[in-house]
Amino acid sequence: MRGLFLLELGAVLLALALLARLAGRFSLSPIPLYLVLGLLVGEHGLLPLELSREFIDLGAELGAILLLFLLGVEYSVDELIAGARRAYVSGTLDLVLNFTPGLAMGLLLGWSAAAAFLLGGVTYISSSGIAAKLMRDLGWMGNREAPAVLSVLVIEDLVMAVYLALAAAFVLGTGLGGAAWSLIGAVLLVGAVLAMASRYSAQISRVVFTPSDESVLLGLLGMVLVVAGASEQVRVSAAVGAFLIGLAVSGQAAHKAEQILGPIRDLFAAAFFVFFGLQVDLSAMPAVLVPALGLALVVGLTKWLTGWVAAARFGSRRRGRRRAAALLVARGEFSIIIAELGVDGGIEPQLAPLATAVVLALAMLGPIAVLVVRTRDRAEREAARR
Amino acid sequence: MSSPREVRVERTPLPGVGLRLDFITETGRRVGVIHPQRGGVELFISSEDDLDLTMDSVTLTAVEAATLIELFGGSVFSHELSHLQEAAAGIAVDWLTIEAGSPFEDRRLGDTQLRARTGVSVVAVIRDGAAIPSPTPGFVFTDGDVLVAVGTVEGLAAAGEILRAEG
Repeated sequence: MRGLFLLELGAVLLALALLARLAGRFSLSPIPLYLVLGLLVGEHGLLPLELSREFIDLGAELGAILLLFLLGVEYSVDELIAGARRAYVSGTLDLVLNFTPGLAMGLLLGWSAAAAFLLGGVTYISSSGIAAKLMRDLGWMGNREAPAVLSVLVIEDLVMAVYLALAAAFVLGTGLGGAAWSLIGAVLLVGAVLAMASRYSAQISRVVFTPSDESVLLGLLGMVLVVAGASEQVRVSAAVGAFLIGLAVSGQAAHKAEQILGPIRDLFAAAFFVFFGLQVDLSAMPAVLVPALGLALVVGLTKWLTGWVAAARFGSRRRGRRRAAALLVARGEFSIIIAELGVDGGIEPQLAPLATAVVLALAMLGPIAVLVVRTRDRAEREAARR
Repeated sequence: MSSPREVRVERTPLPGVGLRLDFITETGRRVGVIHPQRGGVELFISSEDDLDLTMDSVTLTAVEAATLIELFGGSVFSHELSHLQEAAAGIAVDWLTIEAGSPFEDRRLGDTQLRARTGVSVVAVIRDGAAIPSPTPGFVFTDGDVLVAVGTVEGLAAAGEILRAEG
């Protein structure tokens, strides 16, 4: 049994490596492929594996926490606030345009308010991982629309911190009073940690960092898990705690944290996507396919509009607006983290298959839209030159 | 000739990435640099027919960036001292190149007697993109070496004169 376990784990990792390479070749995101792999080897899939659930479950949880932690590390609190200030109009539009369709679809399907709230989150949040990677790979950081896209992503990440805390309270279903109480607690906690992170950022960075990589690795991981675990104890999602403590790590320390924890995050994040796929009941997929694709189409368009407006507000012209629009379309890692909250709480059996289909469609469509836009850009410039 | 146009540099924070500084040239291209949080610097230029689009960009290490700044000075020996970096009151840092034909090409650092004659210290030499810190008086120069020198503004100007003297 144990021998089989190692064999299966190794085979899954090899398959993931192949998929990552395949995605890289076409400059697409590997996330949809990881999800599909999870679907295939899940108990409802074509090739069910014996892999110990507990083991993957732990890996997946670490993956979600590390994704959020390193997202926080990328930003400083000041950047978050400055970004939010510069693009709050686009940010608000983004929330209204992209949260509403998911929420409405959930309610339309007769789900509970909590499940519909989660689906709203799934459709709201763009994949900052996919967008930032595309911008880096295409050399678009110097583009006029770059700050517009990044500011929208920053606001989404900030909103997500509060949203995840709320969602956790919602899913626990402690009643309306309990939810309201958790809400106040969550907002206070997020505010308090942000203020602390802003003030004591330098000290925190200094305490964790020593010249020894080994000690930094263990220290960082320990700190992240303690904060994440403590957040969970006070009924705020562990992911929120990880994100907030990530904000407190800045400067040189942030660079080092990325270097050291980056590869570990990649490993466990892959485990997270596979694990999520594992839990999806494939037999429930056909029933939700039509609403899922309809929803994907709608929130693909609403996100396009968001990017268009955001870039226009930053002074981009037509082509720049189109690039920003396409960059934001992809949904990915954070949508899955939100959907996982619902699966974990066992609140709506249709949520996981529907969210998976939406994310699969948009994580593939987003990068493709960007590549199409780039090709059209080129063709238009060629035509103008003649 | 038109009078030189003032250059308006735009500062744009890129959340999660770094800081972007750019300006639009007289010929209608946007040129600038991005300073990523993780160090180094990215140089970019906009497309000819879409000011909003980056046509090409290149990532430079700190030494490469310093070298480029040096090249922009035209020659190290120009008397433009504006690119000197004043480290402390009265003390500045400059990059001095040993060019082909310099009297000190293939000669030792000690032979220049820079410190005695100008009060300037050579704290490092950049050769082939790598920095060699604290060169000894026995260090032999070769064509293309860039000396990182510290001294007074006058001392550095004098050192530049000495290094290029007759040619």
